[in-house]
This record gives sequence, C-alpha cells and structure tokens, in this order.
Amino acid sequence: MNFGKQLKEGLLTQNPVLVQLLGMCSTLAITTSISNGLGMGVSVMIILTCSNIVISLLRKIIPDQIRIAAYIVVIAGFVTMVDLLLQAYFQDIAESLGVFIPLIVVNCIILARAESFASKNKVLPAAVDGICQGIGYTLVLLVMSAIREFLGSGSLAGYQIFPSEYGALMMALPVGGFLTLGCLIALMQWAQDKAANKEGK
Amino acid sequence: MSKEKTAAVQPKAKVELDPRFTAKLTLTLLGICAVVALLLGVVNSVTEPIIEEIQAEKTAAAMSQVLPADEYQKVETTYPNVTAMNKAVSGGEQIGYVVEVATNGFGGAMSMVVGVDMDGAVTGVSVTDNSETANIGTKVVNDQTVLDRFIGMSHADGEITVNSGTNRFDGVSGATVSSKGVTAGVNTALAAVAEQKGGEA
Repeated sequence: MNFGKQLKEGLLTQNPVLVQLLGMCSTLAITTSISNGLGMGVSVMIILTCSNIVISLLRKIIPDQIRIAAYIVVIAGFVTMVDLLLQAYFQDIAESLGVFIPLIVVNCIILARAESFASKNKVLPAAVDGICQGIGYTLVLLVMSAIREFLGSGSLAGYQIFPSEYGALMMALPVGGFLTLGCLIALMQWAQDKAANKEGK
Repeated sequence: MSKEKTAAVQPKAKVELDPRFTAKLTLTLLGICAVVALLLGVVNSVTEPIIEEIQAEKTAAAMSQVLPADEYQKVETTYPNVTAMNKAVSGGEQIGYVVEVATNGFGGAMSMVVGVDMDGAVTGVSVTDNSETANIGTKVVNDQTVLDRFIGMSHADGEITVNSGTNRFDGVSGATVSSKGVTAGVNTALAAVAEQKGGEA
C-alpha cells in the first residue's frame, strides 16, 4: 500500500463519484455553488476518514453478522458530531447545506469504503483511503459546482463574472446537475479508455 | 408445509443459534452504541449552548430589524403555524407585533419573522431559517430588497397574492414557490395579529 497509488485511485481510476458512481444524490443536490460544494466535500472527507479509522480499528471486534449495523452506528455518530459542530462554529455552511449534512449518514461512499476497504485493512491505509477518496469526492463536487454556478448564475465562488440575468436557470436546477454529471462521467470514461489504449500498445 | 420450507432453506448457510454467540453479537452492538452515544452526549453538551445562543441572537437581530422597539413582550397564541408572538413596546406604548411564523418554501420548512404595526400593516420581513435552492430561492429569502416589498402591505384589500390580484406581491421569476412560501408566511402573520387584536379589544 502506498500513498501515491491510493491517491491516484481516489482521484482518477477509482474516483468515488465518476467511476464508482457512489453518493450521486448529494452530488446532484448540493453542487449549485462552490461554497456548498467545498463545505460538503470537506465534511464528507472528515467523516469518511474518521469512520474508516474507527472501523479499521474495530474490524476484529465487530462480528460479521452485525457489521452493517455497527458501521451505520459509527457513521451516524460522526455525522451527528460534524452536524452539531458545524451548527455551532460554521453557521453559514450549516445553513446553506441544511438537510444534506444529516443525510451524509446514508451517503453510500462512506458505507462502501467501510465495507470494501476499512474492514479489511490496517488503520493507516484505511485513513489514507478516507482522505484520498474524500479528495476525489470533493474535487468532483468543486468541478461540478463551478460549472453549474458559472453557467447558472454567472458567478464563481460568489464573484459575479457576468450578470446573473444572462445565466441559464436550468443549470442551477436538478436538470443541470444531471447534465453536468453525465458529461463529466463521459469525459472520465473517454480519458480512461485513452489511457488504457496507450498502455496496451 | 414447514418441512418443505426448511428443506428449501437448507442449502444455504445455517444461522448460528448458539445463545452465547447471540449474546456476544448483542453485547458488541450494545457496546458500540453506548460508546457512540456517550461521545455524542459530550459533543452535544459543548455545542448546545453555543447553538442556542446563535439562534437567540439571530431571532433578536431579526426582531429589531423588522420592527425596532425598546422591548418585546411575549404573548401567548395558538394560531396555526405561528411559533411565537411578541408585542413590540417603545416608550411605554405598544407600537405593533413581531410574529415568528413557520412556512414552506421549495426546500421545505422556513422560519420567518414579520413585524406588523398597530394599523395591521407590515413593517418588515426577515427569513431566519431556510433550505431554499442556492441562486434561485435564495434570491427571495436572502434579498432584503425583495422582502422589503412587503412593507406597508396589509389585509385591508384581502389576502396578499403573488403576481396577481389587487393586493399583489411581485415575486422573483423562477422562484415562484419560494415567493409564495414567503407570502403565505406574511399572510399568516397578518391574520394572527388581526385575531390577537380582536381578542384583546
């Protein structure tokens, strides 16, 4: 296990959103502005890393039969903590993300990484996996929210580039989310195909 | 019948029913839950006063924004969707009411504070909590110039309606649901004040 390989997997070859197609719901819902995307991405990254560490520590204690229940309790615990801390110290982010913070509990990226990675690996690789997958998720959210915020309301991270009257309202609506995500996934597939062909030759 | 069923299930792995094993499963899960609950209790005890303070501050700021007064006196009300009602008193004389109402926008529940003077006209509107879509619904709830369009409106010409009728509120295009939600909140506040005044007279 090395950091570089895991980082490459998280960002590209095993990107949680674009390749594993996990956590679609939050990806589509909150990517309307860059600040939302960043807040959500970082929250998920913290929760993912914490839950990966704890689940990896507990992997020999948790019996197989009740593992899902145990994972959910651990994940829900971290999500609630992050939710409370955000409300207390980062009021603005908590307000704009609203219900999507509690909904991180059912974000399948976290459960999937717990099941497929943290429960089978030592603490350090599990923590690194959490960080790398988290970065991959955050990056996709940032790219998506930048595209949608720019085309939808003519601003980037709150700075007005062109008047919002000329923005395509559609891009800020769910439709825009699906379109952007579809294009990004297609782009990712094309890039991976190209890379694979190169290696084949 | 039951024999057939058992026969059909048989090929699958038999569930271990050793009572000691069952107890172990239960106790493990109980232990994990207990630890998580304890940690959540600790985090909650730290964040709860901070969150409450922020909420109280926000409400106080919103109240003095919609109807500045020396003092606010709580009055009991059972009007539906009204969460709190305060008499605004300045210089020993009542100058109006400040009503906290719950209403629904595009993104679910919203809380608003509405100031109403003694003539039953709106003195100010502030949205304290919302989950509206960034760059669409927020154009209504976060834009004070839009909310200020309510100032001076009353129920003298009937209920306020969005983009129609004689007592009309000009909503924001593309954010009809949010505009209607805010209008419904103002209507509730005006009706609640009218009832309160009727009861006192």
